[in-house]
Amino acid sequence: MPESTPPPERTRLRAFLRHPASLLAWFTLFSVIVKEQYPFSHFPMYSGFEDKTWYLYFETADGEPLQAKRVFKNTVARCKKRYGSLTKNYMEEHDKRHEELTPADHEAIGGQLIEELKRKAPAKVKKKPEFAAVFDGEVTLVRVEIRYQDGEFTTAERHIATR
Amino acid sequence: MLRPYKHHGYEIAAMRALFAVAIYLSVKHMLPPLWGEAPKPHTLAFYPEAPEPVGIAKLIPLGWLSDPAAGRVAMWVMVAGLVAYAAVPLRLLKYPALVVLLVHNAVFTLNNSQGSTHHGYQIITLTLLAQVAVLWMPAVCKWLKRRPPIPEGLGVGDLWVYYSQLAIAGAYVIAGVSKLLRSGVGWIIESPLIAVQVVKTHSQNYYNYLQEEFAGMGMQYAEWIAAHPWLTRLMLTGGLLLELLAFLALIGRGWALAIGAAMIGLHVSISMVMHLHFPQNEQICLIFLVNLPFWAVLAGRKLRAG
Repeated sequence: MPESTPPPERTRLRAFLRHPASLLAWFTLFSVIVKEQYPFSHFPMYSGFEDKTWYLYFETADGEPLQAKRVFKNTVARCKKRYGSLTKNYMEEHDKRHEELTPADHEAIGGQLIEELKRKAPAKVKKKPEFAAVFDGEVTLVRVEIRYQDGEFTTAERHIATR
Repeated sequence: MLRPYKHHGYEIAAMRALFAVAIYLSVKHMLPPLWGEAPKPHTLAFYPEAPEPVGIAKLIPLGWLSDPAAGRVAMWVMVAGLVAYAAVPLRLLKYPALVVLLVHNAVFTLNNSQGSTHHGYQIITLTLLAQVAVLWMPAVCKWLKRRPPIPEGLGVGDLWVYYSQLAIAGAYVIAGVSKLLRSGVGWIIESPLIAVQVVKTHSQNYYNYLQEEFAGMGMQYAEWIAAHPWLTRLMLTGGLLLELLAFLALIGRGWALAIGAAMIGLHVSISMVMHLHFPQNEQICLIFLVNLPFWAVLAGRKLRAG
């Protein structure tokens, strides 16, 4: 019986799988599937663009903006991401879609974020006199929406929650 | 093509020493100092819990690392591991590399289990993971009674460099693939809308420390982008192609130098325009892709030869 030779496609596939750089293809596929499981990530930063975006900041009861990184050791960007994950949890708990969230829902989520940040701050930071207005008083979470339309940039602020 | 190749001992030694420094710089603010009181609390002190666990935090509680005493022990273990990582003979490197990987992974898994993801440190842990896999491979093969898959003429050190470069290139390829998966080629068309993101990142930087230099600066960049959409598309397409083609760094030293230098240029430009800093990425590209010691020695030899 004549010896059969594998079709060239199969030979090429086998050669690819044996090549050390093929690991990069597996690594890419695996990361895209598992998304965010440290140290693996699908690195989704700026993978899509819209004509609007938003950010958060904090202010004290007398309307003075807070240095979030100094007070909470968290950048406002990280606080926004945490606000996003708290929103996701809230929607699951209350069986709501994002469009169905009311200002009262956002108030509850924002309040949760402020309380969490205040609670997690180490005692050493809470005792600092310059932060008394934060830990003994009230903090407001403010949302700013930035929009680019018809060649113009516009911003709109909204108070989310105070705790 | 794209296969491992021979490296000099001094290249590997320099990479180990420099990478140990880069790893130390990445954990410096996360854990308490080796001794004495830090002027500011370390970052993990703010994370006694893992509200949104990722990676190993799903299996093992890591909140204890926020405790100053535990954090200090972790820092001592890390520093001892890094000294050994830089100094021990290559055949023993697998031990400190494993220790450094475990601590680094634990620290940044807790950091990323706070319900918000930071993408600045994965590249270091992934590179360490690739290195540990390579270093332990001969021992695992011996245990399995199999011949280690080391190409003829090469040693574990050469594979250590190759798979480090593969992990680094992979991180960029994944970022490029994610863009195409989410937006397709529409990413290029819509890329001038990055202008609103520029306004956002500058405003966020302002509210982190209330630094006046960021107030209004983002709008200047954004208006320039809005006025030059095609130039913006051209520049951002270059960045996307660079990410997708990062694997070319595996071809050889010249390609690694070109891709590494281009990556550093990309990060510096992002840093300037968006104030999004990725120092770990720049350092790791400099160490494993640009590989300055090799080029310095080569230039020295050429100069001496006349």
